[in-house]
Amino acid sequence: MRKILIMLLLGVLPALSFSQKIAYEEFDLDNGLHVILHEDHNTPIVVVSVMYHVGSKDEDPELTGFAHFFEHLLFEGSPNIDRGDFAKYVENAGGMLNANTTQDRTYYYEVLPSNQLELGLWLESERMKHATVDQKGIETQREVVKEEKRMRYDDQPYGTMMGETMKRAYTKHPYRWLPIGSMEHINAATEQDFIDFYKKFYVPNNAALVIAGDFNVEETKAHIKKYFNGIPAGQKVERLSIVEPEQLAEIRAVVEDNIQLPAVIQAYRAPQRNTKEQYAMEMLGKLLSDGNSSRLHKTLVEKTQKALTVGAFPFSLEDPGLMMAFAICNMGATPEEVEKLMDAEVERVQNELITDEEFKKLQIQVETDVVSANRRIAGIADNLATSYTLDGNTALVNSSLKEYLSVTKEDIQAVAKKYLKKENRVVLYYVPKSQN
Amino acid sequence: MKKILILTLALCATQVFAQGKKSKAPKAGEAPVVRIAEPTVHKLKNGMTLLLVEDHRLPMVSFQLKMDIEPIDEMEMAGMVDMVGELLGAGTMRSSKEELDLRIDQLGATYITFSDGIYASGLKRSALGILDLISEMAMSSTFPQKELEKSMTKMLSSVSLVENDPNAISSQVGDVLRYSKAHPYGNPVTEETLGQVNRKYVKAYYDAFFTPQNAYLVVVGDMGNAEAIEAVTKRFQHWGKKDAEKRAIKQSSSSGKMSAASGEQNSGKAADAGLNTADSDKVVTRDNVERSATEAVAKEKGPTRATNSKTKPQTTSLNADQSASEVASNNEQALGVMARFKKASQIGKKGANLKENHVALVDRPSSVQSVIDVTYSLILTPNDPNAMAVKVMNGILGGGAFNARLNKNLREDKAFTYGAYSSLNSDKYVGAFSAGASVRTSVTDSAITEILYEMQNMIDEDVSDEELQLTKNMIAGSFSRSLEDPRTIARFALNKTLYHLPADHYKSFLQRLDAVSKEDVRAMAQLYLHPNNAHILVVGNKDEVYNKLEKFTGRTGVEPLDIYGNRYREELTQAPPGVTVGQVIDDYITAIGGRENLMGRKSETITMSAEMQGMPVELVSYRQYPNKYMSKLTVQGREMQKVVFDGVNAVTHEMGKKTELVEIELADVSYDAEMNLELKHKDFGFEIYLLGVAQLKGGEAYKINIITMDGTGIKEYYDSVTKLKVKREEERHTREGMTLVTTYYDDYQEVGGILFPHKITQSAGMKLEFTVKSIELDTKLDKELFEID
Repeated sequence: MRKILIMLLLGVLPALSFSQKIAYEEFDLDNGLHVILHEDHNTPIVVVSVMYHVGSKDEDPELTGFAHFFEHLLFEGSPNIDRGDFAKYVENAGGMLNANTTQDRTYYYEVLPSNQLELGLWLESERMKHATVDQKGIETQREVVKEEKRMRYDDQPYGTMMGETMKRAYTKHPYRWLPIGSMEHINAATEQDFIDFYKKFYVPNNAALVIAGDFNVEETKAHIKKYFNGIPAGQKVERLSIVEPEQLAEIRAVVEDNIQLPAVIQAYRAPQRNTKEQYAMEMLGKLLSDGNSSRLHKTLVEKTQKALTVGAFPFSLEDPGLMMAFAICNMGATPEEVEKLMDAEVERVQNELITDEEFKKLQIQVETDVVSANRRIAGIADNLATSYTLDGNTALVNSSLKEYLSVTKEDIQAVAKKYLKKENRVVLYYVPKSQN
Repeated sequence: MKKILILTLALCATQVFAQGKKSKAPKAGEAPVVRIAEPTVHKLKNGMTLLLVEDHRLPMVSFQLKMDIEPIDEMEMAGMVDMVGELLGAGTMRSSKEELDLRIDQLGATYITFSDGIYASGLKRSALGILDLISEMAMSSTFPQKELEKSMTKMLSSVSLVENDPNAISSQVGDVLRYSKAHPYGNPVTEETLGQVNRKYVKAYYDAFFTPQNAYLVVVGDMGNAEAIEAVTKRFQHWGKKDAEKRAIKQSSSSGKMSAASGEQNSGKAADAGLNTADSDKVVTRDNVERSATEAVAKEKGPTRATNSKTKPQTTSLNADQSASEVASNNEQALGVMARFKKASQIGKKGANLKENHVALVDRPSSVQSVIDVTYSLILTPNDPNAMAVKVMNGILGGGAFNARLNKNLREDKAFTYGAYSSLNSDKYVGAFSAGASVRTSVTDSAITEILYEMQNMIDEDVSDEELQLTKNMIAGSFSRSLEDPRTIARFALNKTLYHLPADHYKSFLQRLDAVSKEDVRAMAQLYLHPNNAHILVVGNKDEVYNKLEKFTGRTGVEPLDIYGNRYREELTQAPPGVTVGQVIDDYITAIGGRENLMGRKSETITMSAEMQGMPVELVSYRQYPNKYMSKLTVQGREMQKVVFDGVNAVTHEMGKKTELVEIELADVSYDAEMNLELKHKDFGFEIYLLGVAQLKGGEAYKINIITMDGTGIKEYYDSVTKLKVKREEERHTREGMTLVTTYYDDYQEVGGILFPHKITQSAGMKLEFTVKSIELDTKLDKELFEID
């Protein structure tokens, strides 16, 4: 009886039970635009997204903040879309849209009812083909971006943390500035500077178009051709490969901020993303700060109660990034004692191999993360675009878990020893302004 | 049996723009069908409700335990209810905090506890383990004193984090203004109120309100309904029985190694009950429950202690831990303890009842932006028939759309802000309207004007067909997208019960949305928007914005508030004995060069420069003994303002316009004419008082109050160590009314034997940082400078 029921269930719901593997199809158009299609008919929505392989690291050191500025500018319209109408089209269609910029790439996306897929393709093709880059838009967005900076960085307690860290951790590499960039540069830039940047990076051969969700593949392929084939390829994007020289001595600084509780930041130089070592670093990050039983949390927050909160985040960037550990001191605790405790935990990983029990915990945590990243169709589209653009390997959406699970206890210890060295780090103390 | 309702998403894609373009927006295809599934509802005998949604796309399961508890006014112990949420995961009869943390992480689960429930999710293979944790936290949390103290430290630190976060301040003070401190929603958590929180009340709250009748458990994901019902029933069926019975059940059903280990540390109650007969994974049958429950009661009555030697040494400390709470050891007693707190429904509903706009300002001197919130409370329950039209109305004004009026105006047209939004929230007890943005300091007043204008405009005029349709389409789209997440379906079902919504509330959502008309929208604006009866809260730099806010107030003026929504009072301590106001002034005079030195001066010419919106500003002032004065302000080389005082009369020239000054304005200028006004307090008939010692950024300062003949109060601050004047606050009379002028004096340098401040920062609606370029003493000044022609 029961067996029959199970068979029945399998018979009825075959499409639902194996969808953990993300099926996709990918191809290039003649102009170099890379296309990735992922079908999923569960919900009548579709994601149209474009990831441009341009981030703050591609900027001229004298014109920083450009990639992020474009994230704003490219909602201004095109010869066929009036100023302000870009968002109107999407919202009128019952969709939503947004964009974001990192050091390595810029991502634009729309989530639409499935019958509006063609609209999404048209909008993205307009953006790629001939976005409006003019004085009016530049001037408005200049002020808007300044307000964004004031809100997110200047008036935000600890808001300058990333900027203060990056500018010390890197001396040559463009990771030394943040995507928000410099307001002076944005102010000084000319219309031509913006046009040049657009023509250089916003070209089909520097982009990946991802369609994910409820659509008909053949029909969609025809639409993609219709809207994107006519966009001419740009010049091949030559990337400067700036290698940050090895750090030789620990860098320390004290930063005053409008805060009540001091904070400690330790930023270690780390490997680049999608390398064996970086997978181990990410597992190390979990060991240190994922969950209340993680080592930093348990020692600093639970046992000694010296910290209000702790974290250890590996920034997995295209070029070698950082492993950033931070702690906000509890009332009455000093940064010195907090740093000592953080150091002791790092030394423990370096000196003792972790137990099987703790290792098993990291593995289930990472599996949970990887599975939940595919909860939403928008998340899947983002993963596909990122794996292709930054890792050069779309298949990673299905194999990343394997990569994490191939990390051994010894690998974790090895990266802790190799990278979490004092001479390889920046240490910042954030202290309240009135203190000095 | 799953019922599936099929709705057609009628999206009228109005193609009103894109005319005359080469490439036009493509037409939409056939509208997709929107399906709203129904969750399976199952009720346990003890009253607990299960809501189940199967979704096998990913091997994950999520659980949400929601307790339907009416908010209470915590009065002097604000933070007590939050503490319940903090401590739900801090110890159960089976596991200590440390063990719970480890169990959660070993399951790879993410979880969060609230004062009204728990959310947790994880992989399918962790589901039963997660359910164990939730059931323990819901039914047998122990609230250890040690963990309460730890959480207290954490909450105190969190309270101090608010002090520097402008958005957190705005939200906290906004709540006080909207709801008032007498309402559960408006009572801020402070260091003081946290000091009143103790274990007795935390535990009583839990015992009183964490009951199966109040409980809803939502299970969504890769778990079959039958399996879920069985697993939940097994764990929760005995919830609600008397405590002693519960202990017995917990003890006999909890399993294995972990339980034995925790018995040593934490499960005092179980130890007392003396039923450490752990039998792993055994399903508790009705029979042995009744039996062990009886035993437990018997044990508790008698003096017999646990026989298990392991638990014995722990009894003392555990008893100490729990002594206060035993009062509230069962539900009825706990309800008795809670009776002193009023419930939200007993407090009475209050909507917006302001007679005029009320402007409140929280000073945050380091801010470069002002966080603006135009807000008030209102009555709008989720089941109100107006709720849908209100949603559309707010969507047009400042809901999520990029092109909603507030964002369009304040961001896209004026570039004042990164984003401007409004919300109009319904609530079972009291709802709220809120509209605001973070804007650069210099446009604070303009931004408020625009927000109020947009609110008024919604009342005065019909919205356009285009924006009505766009907003409806957006809401419909967002509704449909939300259905991608199976948790939405469960949320719908939960909301229906909690908020007494009609059975077809969500099924009819799109039809009801479609029916909203322009007339409805305007009627809603007229009912729910109050641009003349709102709190206007600004968190920002007081020196720079204070004067700009007066125009929005009625008779009350701008009310300065602290971060807890109390009227701001500068904290002054008493000056040490022996310090008098005369001495403060004398010390200052001595510090800058001595009375004789100052009295002997014939003239002074001070040139200062500053920058205003990128333009160079220069201010030159001439003073000639005994009381002649002239000052000239130039911007980019152009003379903007000149003030001349010949000792008797005064005039101003502003952009070529000459005005004679009389009365108070004339008096103000005669004070400005003094090289050292401090020497002349008596001559002018000023009354001066020492107010106390204030804490300024640079250190302690004596604060004095100078009352002029016309009654104006000038506040001055003198550094207690250097004796120098560091700050001055003065209300100046201008044609536009009173203006608060705040001046900071820094960088004192010696010129001709006298100390002069070389950096002078003045704020009066706008901040100007002057640097002294030159000071010339006792030069012969041209008589014509001071002539009034």
